[in-house]
Amino acid sequence: MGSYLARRLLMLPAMLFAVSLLAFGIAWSVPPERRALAGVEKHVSPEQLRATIVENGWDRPFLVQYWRYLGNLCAGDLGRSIERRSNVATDLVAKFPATIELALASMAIAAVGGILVGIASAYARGSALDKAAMLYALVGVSVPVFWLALMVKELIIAYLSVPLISAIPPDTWWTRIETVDALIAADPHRFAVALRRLLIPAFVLATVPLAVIARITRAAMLEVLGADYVRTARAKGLGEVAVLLRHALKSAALPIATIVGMQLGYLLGGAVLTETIFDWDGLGKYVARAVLANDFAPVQAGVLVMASAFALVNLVVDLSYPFLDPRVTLA
Amino acid sequence: MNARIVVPIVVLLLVAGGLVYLFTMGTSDALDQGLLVFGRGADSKSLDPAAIDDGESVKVVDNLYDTLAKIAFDPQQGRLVTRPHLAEKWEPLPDGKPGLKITLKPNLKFHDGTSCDAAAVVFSLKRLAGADSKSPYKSFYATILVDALAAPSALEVVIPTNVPDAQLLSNLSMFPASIVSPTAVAKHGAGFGTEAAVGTGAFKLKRWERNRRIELEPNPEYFAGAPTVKGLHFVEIADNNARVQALRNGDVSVADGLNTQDYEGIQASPTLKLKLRDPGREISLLYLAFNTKVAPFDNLKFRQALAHAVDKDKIALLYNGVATRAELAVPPGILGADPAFKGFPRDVEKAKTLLAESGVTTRALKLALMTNPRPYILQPKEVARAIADAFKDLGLEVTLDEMPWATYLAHVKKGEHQMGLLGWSTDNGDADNFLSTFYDSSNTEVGTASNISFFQDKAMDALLERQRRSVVPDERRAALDLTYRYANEQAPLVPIVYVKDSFAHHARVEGVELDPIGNLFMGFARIAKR
Repeated sequence: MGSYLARRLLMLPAMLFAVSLLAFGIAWSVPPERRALAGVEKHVSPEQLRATIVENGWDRPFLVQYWRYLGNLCAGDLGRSIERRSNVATDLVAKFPATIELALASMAIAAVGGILVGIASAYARGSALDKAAMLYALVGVSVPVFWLALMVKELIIAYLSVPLISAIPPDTWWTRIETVDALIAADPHRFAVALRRLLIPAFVLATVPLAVIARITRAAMLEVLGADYVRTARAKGLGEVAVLLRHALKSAALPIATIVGMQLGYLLGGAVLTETIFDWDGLGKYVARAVLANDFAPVQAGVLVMASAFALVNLVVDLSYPFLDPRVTLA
Repeated sequence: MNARIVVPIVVLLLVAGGLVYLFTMGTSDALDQGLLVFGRGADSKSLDPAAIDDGESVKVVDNLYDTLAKIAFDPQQGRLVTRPHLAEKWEPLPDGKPGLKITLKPNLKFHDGTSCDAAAVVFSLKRLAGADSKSPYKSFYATILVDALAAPSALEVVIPTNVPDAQLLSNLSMFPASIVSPTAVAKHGAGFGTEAAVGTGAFKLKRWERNRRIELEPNPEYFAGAPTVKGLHFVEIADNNARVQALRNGDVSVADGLNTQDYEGIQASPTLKLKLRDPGREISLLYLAFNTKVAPFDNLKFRQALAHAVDKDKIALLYNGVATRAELAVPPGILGADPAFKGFPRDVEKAKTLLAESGVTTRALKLALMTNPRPYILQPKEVARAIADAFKDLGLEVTLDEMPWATYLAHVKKGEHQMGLLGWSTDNGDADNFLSTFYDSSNTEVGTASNISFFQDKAMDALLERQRRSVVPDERRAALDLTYRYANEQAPLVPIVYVKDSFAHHARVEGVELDPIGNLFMGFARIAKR
């Protein structure tokens, strides 16, 4: 297990190196003059454009630029946003908590909902409930999330008064996660406002993972529900709930954990479309705006964070296998 | 009853009740706390007046700093005038040389408690116009002889220029020429504008949470009277619909960047007010630029033919009453505009004749445009289609070439377009700000051009120079007339519509008006009791 962990952790920098090269190469392929225009609103002189290019070293050869970028990266310097004129690392620290909040909230909805629907549908296989659940699962994986988000938002704007900006921030932050901070501050109004703002994007974002998790859970449960040990459990008089949760679900946990982990990895990378549509001030919205502005430092940094989040969550899932299934050993 | 049934039902009811409460409870009580919350599309980039050119930064800067003069509309004269602000008065230089001598109001104080005196004015202007200036507006102050700026006494400033400059006062009224605290600049260095922003303005910077919210608090010692509101917050709500909704449910009390489709709803609401610029006082223009460096747009008759074909009235209709047809590249609310001027009317027969005379045989044209709306073009694609339809009447086939804003801007500034749609809104309220931007050959550098017609014409340059140097009003009037006629006839661009700027606020907010150059000063805002 120790050597497995070490190997996996060693692979992480190699993967990040490859991702950084790719992200940097894409940015590099855009002419520097175009990138330097990112922050320009009305006036710009040729001298100023030139100054921005030289300041950022965009006039140097590719390898020199990349070497400098890697050096800065190792020192924790992710560069500066030309459009926003801000430090990207500082921006990410400010944005990431909101993304974590949204990702965890929608993952909680998707995992609990998906597993329950999956179990129910496997248990009552072929029933109307099963058919309805699988129809939802099919629709859920097919609906483009941005379309759903747009529709839901239009409805909210038409019928509900959901606040779109957070409550006036207090003088100190603890976690920068609005719901958690409101709880720490023991401020029920602030918590209610934060929760209300969180729920709708979280549900929208949960649609696809919920459908995926429900399908996987159903399939995994179907496999074990017919197994001998489940029949034995029933035969010795255990209640149905105990049979399903303690015996069947535990055996089906491996594929479910894998899919939950993968989905969380996607969500932690920032839901670019959902965050943009709901004006959610997280990593996804930040990166989307930078992409549209040809502002590459935030995009490169965003891609790295997304890749790291994905890799780390998957590592955690892999490490959890032996706990979920004692037959699995990591070597 | 069985607990197995009762418990889930109770839980369900509790959850449902909680959700109903959550989504129907009252929202913000900011107005009751005396707070003004301004919702806008993006955050500011910097609060250093000598480092910015984006509207979202200017909005905040206007409330933090003051300028020597301010541009105001004089109803008696029916035109824009410059009025003293931090200045008590100004006069020509005694020796007859070009420039101004300015006397400051006494006892002006910066937010940090230091004195806003003549030395601070000289410091601010040197910082703006000197060699090390980072201001995108530096060229506006190019006539100032920086080394000869002087403060003969604590209240007197001498601003000499190398040539007579008709726009000097207008430019000194503009935000880049805001007077900043020299002590604060020295203390914060490059951090001035982000860590600190110290001026003399009605509000002081309290806190800036980047890309989220800027909090200002009132300056109790403001020279024109302390604001009565308890605070002024600027928050970012990127989506136009969401911003209007935030206004409706009280999360914000002032908002701009509205969709025209929302105007009717806002006007019908008893709790909201819509403020639209008065007709005939517009300060923004949408225009169609022809790239005169590429064929067939280098052909004068061809350009004139197209100018006769554009259906401006039809395009104005797309704006729901927020735009009127443009005759001139200078909107009517601008100092030096000529509201009586008539550009080419739509005349398809004339256009056909000119097209035949031009000898141009190309029938396929390309029109570049941005995908996202800008303040002066709310539906880019619809406008572009209307132009394509109008040109079809001449047998010309126009393909639309859409790009996201940043890419589009780079595209037209590099001259990669045939035709492009762009707009301009005033910086300083003066006609030259439009004319130089559009027609001056010095603004045609590939990559940074603002003259995206790439129009290079010696006669035009001479006319522009002449009106710039005419400090006597009648002389300037005559020089501008000649410039307008020549620009119209050469048709490197077609002015399409003048667009009204707008904002909305909660009905309890009073005393907030658009100023003549489109700024919103909130120092005199009041919040009425419920």
